[in-house]
Amino acid sequence: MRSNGWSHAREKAAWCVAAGAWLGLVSAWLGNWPAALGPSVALLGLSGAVAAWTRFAPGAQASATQGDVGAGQEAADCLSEAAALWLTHLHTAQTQMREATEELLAGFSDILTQLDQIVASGPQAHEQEASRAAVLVRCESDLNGLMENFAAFVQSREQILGSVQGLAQQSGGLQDMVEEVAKLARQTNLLSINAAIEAARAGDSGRGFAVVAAEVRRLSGESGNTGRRIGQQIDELRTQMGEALDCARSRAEADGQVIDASGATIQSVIHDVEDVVKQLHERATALGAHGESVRHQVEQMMMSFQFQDRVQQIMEQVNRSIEQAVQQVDGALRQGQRLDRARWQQLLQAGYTTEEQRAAHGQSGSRSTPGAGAQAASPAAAQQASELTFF
Amino acid sequence: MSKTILIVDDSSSLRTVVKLALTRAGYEVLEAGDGEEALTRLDGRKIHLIVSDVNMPRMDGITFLTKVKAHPSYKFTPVVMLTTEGQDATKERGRAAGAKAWIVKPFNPPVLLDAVSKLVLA
Repeated sequence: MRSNGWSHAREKAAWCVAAGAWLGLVSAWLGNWPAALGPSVALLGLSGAVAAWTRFAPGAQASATQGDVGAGQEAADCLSEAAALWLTHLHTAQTQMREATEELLAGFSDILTQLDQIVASGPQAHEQEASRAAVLVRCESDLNGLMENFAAFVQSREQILGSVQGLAQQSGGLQDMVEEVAKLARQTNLLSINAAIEAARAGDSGRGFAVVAAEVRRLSGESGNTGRRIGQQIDELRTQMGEALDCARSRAEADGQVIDASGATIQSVIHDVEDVVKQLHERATALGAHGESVRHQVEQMMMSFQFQDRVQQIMEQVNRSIEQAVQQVDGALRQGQRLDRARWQQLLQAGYTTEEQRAAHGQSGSRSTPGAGAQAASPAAAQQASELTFF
Repeated sequence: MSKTILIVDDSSSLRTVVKLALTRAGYEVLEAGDGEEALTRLDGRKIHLIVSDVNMPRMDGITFLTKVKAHPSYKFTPVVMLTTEGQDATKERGRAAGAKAWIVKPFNPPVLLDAVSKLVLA
């Protein structure tokens, strides 16, 4: 390469001049030529400086050999190859992260929609709950009314029972009357017998009276028979009334027990239904509260997906930085030149959009332990997160 | 009737979470992926507020903000910048271009809603 050849020639010429100047100096000293001493020393210093600068100056040293340049070209090729691969991997990672994030967000959005429906149904469930409670109250009222009707029925039966008892008591009075009628019949029969006796005593004049006495006797006999038949009828009636009374009493007693048991059952059923309704209400309330809590958690989780935006920006900046860095390093290697450090730092910082990147750059610049920059970045970013400024 | 807010951000996931926060607060939301797409949304419809990122492809947020302030129908529409940029120099650029507020990402929904409620057009 022309620049390298020129450097070699320059260096050789400088050493030749230095050698010549040195010989001149020795000759001057040996030949006692003080006049030649000054120029020789100056020439010696100048040539030495040129030789040294040629050997040790920046760029001149890096381009000292063609072997170094060849190695640089090979390194540049490897770097370009590696950079292409890195950029491809970064793009793959970015695409996968973006697609996965969008898919997760869509899924969470669906979950939120379903939770909204569940939580919204809570107030509707409360309205239905109130309606069910009103129905329960109405049912309880209707059943209690039914029980009152049963009780009234039992009461009316007892009234009938009382009337039958009264009739039975009155039939006892009838029996007394029957006995009086029988007594009257017996007395009338005795009277007729006495009348027949007196009629017989009266002879012929008592025949008419004897006929009357006989008729009276016959009538008393018939009334006695009629009285006995009435007595028998009354006995039968009293027996049947007694049987009916006993049956009614036992039925009334049994019905009363059934009604009491039904009332207790109804109250128990109402109580159980109220308990179930209360439990349903409590579970609906708990479910609504739980749904609200889960919905809040899902919302918080969705907010956490903001990380994808930051990571995307950082990775895009890294992509651009790699491309530019490779271009600079590639050029320096191929031309055998050193990199400009200031320009290199500008390249690394170009495109920063987050505090994490700036904080990491500051920490990394102090050549602290690897990762220290990332550790310093998190508090810096956290401090600024959600910072609101009104203008 | 709900108020309409335009969200401008090149990150679809970020637009999703901002939209979630705003729709749950009762706002209607329009979306755009960058400044150029957002300008197409400014078609005469009523927009009560704009939330815009700064770093976007094709047209960044500051440029978009400048164009909004020059638009005859939308120059009074308040614009809130929602961005990862937190440096004072960048904020000053936003303020000078006409932004009404600046929120640094990641944002908390109450902070965003506070700014929106105070700035949204009546």
